[in-house]
Amino acid sequence: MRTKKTGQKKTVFYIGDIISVAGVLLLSFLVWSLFFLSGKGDGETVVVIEGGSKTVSEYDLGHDGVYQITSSNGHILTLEINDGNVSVTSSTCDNGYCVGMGKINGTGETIVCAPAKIKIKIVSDGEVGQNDFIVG
Amino acid sequence: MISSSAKIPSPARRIAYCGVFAAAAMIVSYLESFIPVGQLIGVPGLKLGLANILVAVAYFSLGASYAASVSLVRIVISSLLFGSVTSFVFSLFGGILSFTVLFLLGGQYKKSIGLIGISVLSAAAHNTGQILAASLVMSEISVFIYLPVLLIFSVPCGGITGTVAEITLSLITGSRKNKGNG
Ligand SMILES: [Zn+2]
Repeated sequence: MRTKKTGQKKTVFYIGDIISVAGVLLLSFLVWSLFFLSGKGDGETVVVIEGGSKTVSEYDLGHDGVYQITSSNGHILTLEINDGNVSVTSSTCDNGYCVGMGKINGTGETIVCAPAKIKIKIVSDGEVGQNDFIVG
Repeated sequence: MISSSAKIPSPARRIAYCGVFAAAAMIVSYLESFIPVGQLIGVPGLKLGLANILVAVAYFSLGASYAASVSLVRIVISSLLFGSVTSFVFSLFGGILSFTVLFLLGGQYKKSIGLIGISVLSAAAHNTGQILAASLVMSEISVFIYLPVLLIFSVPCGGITGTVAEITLSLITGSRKNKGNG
């Protein structure tokens, strides 16, 4: 019962295939625009939080540098601060989503690494240390 | 591998095939870890999703429950052998979402949608599930910023796996119906 369009082709495209591709691309654009439209502030400090609440290190967003973060469960992330942009340039975690998340530069923006349970967040100076008390 | 008998496989045979499919799914996901497609093209975490070929073929040749077993067995055993608790949660979320797509659209197969469309949506659902798992583990929505890139790459990945699945399935069903033709 396979449909044949021409003699040499076994596979045929259905309308649903085209809708699927268009739908996935549209969803991609919608999710991207949600993040693109969200506002940005001027943070000054980069905090590294482990396990949801424990601040393990802090860096000045104004100072360029490359730092190594080692999580309790042994994952190693390379954190780069360059011209006000923060990114994870390499990671030993399973999926590398933290690297894929790219650069952040505004207050409240985060890069997370679920396998390492690490959260990297840009905060304004007044907020530094707050995460010691907030769980989650 | 599959006999050219004209009859639909008996439940015992289906379970045996199910085991073969699950083993094959584990082998391809293991092999896939040596082909870091994501790293090669600069999209960390991106996978072709070769195991989905086996799940889709199982779905349309054996049935929904057998395909679900193939997927679940692969996820559980792969995580036990090569993964961590976190990677198990990721795989499970991805697996459940991509299977849901298969389940919802399976009835439309060769009516209004082909395996390419189904596989593209499955791949998109798989990636969405993994991002969702990451965001739940970290209670942080920001991980979704990486979803658009993964969704775009779901199209070529799903296209490849869907095409391979379609060919595999036509070989299996072709050999069953036409006594070894194809
Ligand atoms: Zn990571």
